[in-house]
Amino acid sequence: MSAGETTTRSDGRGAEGLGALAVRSIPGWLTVTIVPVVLLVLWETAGRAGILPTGLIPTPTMTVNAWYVWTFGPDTGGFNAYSGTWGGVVTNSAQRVVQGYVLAVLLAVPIGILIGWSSVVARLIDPTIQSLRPIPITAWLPFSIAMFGIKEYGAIFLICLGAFYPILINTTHGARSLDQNLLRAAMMMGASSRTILFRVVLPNALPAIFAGMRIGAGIAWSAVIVAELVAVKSGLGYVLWDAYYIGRMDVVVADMASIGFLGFLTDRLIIALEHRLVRWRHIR
Amino acid sequence: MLEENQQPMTENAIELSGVTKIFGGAKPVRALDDVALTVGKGQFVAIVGPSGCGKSTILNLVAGFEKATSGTVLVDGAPVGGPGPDRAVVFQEAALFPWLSVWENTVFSPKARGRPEREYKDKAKQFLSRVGLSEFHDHLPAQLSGGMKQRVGLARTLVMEPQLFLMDEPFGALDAQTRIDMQELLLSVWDELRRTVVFITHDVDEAILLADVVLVMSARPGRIRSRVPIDLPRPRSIDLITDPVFVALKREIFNQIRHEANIARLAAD
Ligand SMILES: Nc1ncnc2c1ncn2[C@@H]1O[C@H](COP(=O)(O)OP(=O)(O)O)[C@@H](O)[C@H]1O
Ligand SMILES: [Mg+2]
Repeated sequence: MSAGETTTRSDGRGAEGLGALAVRSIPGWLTVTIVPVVLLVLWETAGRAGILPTGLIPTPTMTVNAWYVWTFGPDTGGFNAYSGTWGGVVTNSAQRVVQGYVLAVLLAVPIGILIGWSSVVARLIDPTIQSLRPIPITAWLPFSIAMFGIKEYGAIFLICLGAFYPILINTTHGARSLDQNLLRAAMMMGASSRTILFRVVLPNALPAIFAGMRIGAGIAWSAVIVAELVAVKSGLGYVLWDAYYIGRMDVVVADMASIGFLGFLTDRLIIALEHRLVRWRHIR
Repeated sequence: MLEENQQPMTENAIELSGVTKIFGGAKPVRALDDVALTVGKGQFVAIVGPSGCGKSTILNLVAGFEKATSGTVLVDGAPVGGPGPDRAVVFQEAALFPWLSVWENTVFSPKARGRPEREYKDKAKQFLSRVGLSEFHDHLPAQLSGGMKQRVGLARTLVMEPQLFLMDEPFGALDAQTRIDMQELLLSVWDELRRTVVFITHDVDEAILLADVVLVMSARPGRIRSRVPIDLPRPRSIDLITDPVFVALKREIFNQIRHEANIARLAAD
């Protein structure tokens, strides 16, 4: 190899410099945990000191206890709905999310690629999609109940609808962001339209597709809760309302934490998948 | 066909006549005006000229990326329809697929055209080693320097075994030393293959060093202003640039470009 040619990229240094400057002496894990730990301690102390009405706002330890019983407590055969039922409740919600979400990905990615690739397809379906998009999924609730009744399909419909738009829009954007020279390179090398679509446009759009999938997953979890609050009689959203009605605020907060945790887990899963499929974006 | 076979020496690889290109839009730009040029089979032609004079536009017309507003663009006697693997293009920014390894980039063309692997594998390996990148087989473009990317950009066109190479300032973004390495690589590859090359550059040294003929373009609207044959012996090396013949050619071409640049400046004022 000739002089002046190296295998490393030149832009590898800048980011680290800033971080090191900020807090040099505190280890990374501590900087990350410091704020949540302080908040939890304040919350716990305020509850125990009687500043917070614990009947309305349970302390963190009360919440953890409630969650523990809810998850590991004996199955009382319906006598106590919040003993040993957590796994089943989570499974109910997660199944709906997975079904609606996968359906959304399967619809939004091909449609988004086609809209980005072909101006005819864009003119054909983009206006319809754009005019339906401002309707929030919460506004679709009555329609969805009317269509599907108090059934799984209503929840899956709402989840799919909510996740569909961000995935579609990001995919379209990704397909349109193809560098003109990459397209020209593919054409001069004799690639057919089909080959260009699958071997150039699609991989080029993958990072954008994943960006849309992450946003879509967040919306999917919101959608399942909304659907279960109103239209389906099971899952985390249903328990949320149900526990509130009988004054089990500790279960309500444990439920909220569970939703947050599952949303976080979903996001991590998508990131892991992205790192596998879009390895080229993360390598230097 | 018969006639062509009887007179192979006079056959032109590229023929442009009366070519005008106007880019539409709110303010239409007349990029080329009545351009005529011919490139002989196996000839290495360099095009130089002030920035914005339409060098890339000529190349894009021959490549089939753009269509002429009027006039004819012939490659091997046939009008250019669209881009195709008979005309390989080397881009300034390499234009490699960032998600494909060096190897996958190199064999993109035969693979995309559905050729069986045994047909191109050995050949592609040879070309990759010819450009000095055998060891970087599995690297991704992001892991390569500018010069190495450009080597892959060259290797993937060599694998296509095209009739015609079109190069648009391929070494324009490289540092001085890497550029000289690439020029010497291209010289030696061309000495082996002797295929037709149209090479665009704003570096007059580079044009004289590489080409059989240097075409100097006028400022916008672009025209071919003069055709300077480079009668320097081959094989050539970078040492040539101090040769008196080289220096005289350089002065001549420089004067013409400067003249064109002045006209352009006056027109702009
Ligand atoms: N796609 C385009 N649309 C409008 N104008 C263009 C386009 N491509 C090139 N031009 C204009 O045509 C002229 C010639 O461009 P180009 O061939 O790229 O010049 P060069 O390669 O010699 O620098 C320039 O003025 C440029 O701005
Ligand atoms: Mg140019």
